[in-house]
Amino acid sequence: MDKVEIVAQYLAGEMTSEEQVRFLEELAQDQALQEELSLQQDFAIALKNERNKALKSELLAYAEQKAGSNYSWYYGIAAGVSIVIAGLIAFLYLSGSSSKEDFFAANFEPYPYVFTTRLSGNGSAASEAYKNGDFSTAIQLFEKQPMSDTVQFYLGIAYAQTGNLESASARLEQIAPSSIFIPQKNWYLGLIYLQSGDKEGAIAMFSKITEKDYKFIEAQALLGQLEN
Amino acid sequence: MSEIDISELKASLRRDNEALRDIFDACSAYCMKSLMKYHNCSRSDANDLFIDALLIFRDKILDDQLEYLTNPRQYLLGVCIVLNKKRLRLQGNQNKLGLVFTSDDLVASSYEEQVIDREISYEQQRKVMHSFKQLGDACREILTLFYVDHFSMKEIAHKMSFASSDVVKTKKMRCLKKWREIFRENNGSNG
Repeated sequence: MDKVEIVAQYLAGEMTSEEQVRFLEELAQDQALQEELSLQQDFAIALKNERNKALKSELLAYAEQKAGSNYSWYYGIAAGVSIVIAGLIAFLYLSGSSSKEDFFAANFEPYPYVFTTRLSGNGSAASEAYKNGDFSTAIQLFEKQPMSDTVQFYLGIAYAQTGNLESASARLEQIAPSSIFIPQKNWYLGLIYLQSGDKEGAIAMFSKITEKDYKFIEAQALLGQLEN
Repeated sequence: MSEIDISELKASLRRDNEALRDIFDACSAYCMKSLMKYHNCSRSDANDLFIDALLIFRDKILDDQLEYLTNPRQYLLGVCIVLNKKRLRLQGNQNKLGLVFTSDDLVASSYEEQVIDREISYEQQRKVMHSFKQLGDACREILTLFYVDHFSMKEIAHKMSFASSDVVKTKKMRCLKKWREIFRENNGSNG
């Protein structure tokens, strides 16, 4: 095996620990091997940088699309407009001009299935069903999992998606205060309480959503209407 | 606090960019507000730092450098803070009359090394990519799938319809050697 192959094998993590030790010992004495290692590292980094450059442009465009613009004055206006629109929707709903079902359907989007804890057995089938929008199957499979905060959270969302608000709130209420899903739980549980006619419960949930949290603007708009 | 399933996250990130946008949605507001409120960043700087941190996070997951994670928002904010400190330090050094490194610089560098991978110069980046673009389509695809997308030999064989993972292994090595040859020709033996 020549130096190019040896370095490629090392960088790909294909060496046993014994081979790694031998490689590092040789590396300390062999200038040509050091140069080959630098060259192959540079190659891998350059390819990654090129991909990241493209991804960064894509994400910057996505961020602009979400915020409207990067300028703070525009963002301020956009945030204000969002609150007004959200407030108007909330007002229409709360004054009975829009149906509860429409309001709930418009605001209750299933939370993306990205950050999940390790699941056992049929856990990956449960997560696939959730990601594919097959919430009934997801419920059946999640129910067989050991109950962690993550499982409770996604079960709660899945139950709400199937219209079973009682089970949805029961699941979300059990999420521990230390969970990373607390801000999201406050938003979804607030919506479920509102849909179930529990105005006080909804106010309590939306009030817990702070400036840094998920759905802060929407929660503020709803609170504005609920507290009047 | 529950541990995030890194393998699930890795699979989502490898599938497409949808997961990256989901993480953006779940974490950007928190990180950007903290950067603007507590770290003297403008909105545009905060946006830039967050996206850089997100790409570092993605690389760490795909490179198997992150084995344990409980709170992605906090982790991303931590990376943003390290990147911001580096940005401020480099701005500070540029403002100095001579190039003087203080002990603060060394401490900062050691933190940065834990977060930021080895970097290469703009010139080296240009040289590597110039040679890479001279390879054939199949070689470029194999090397990208292996080094950037972290596909296994078996996955590459399946995706590119090769007979076996051994065929891919041989082909990948030939492509890497071909790239080295072009690189040496373009830049002299010292590259």
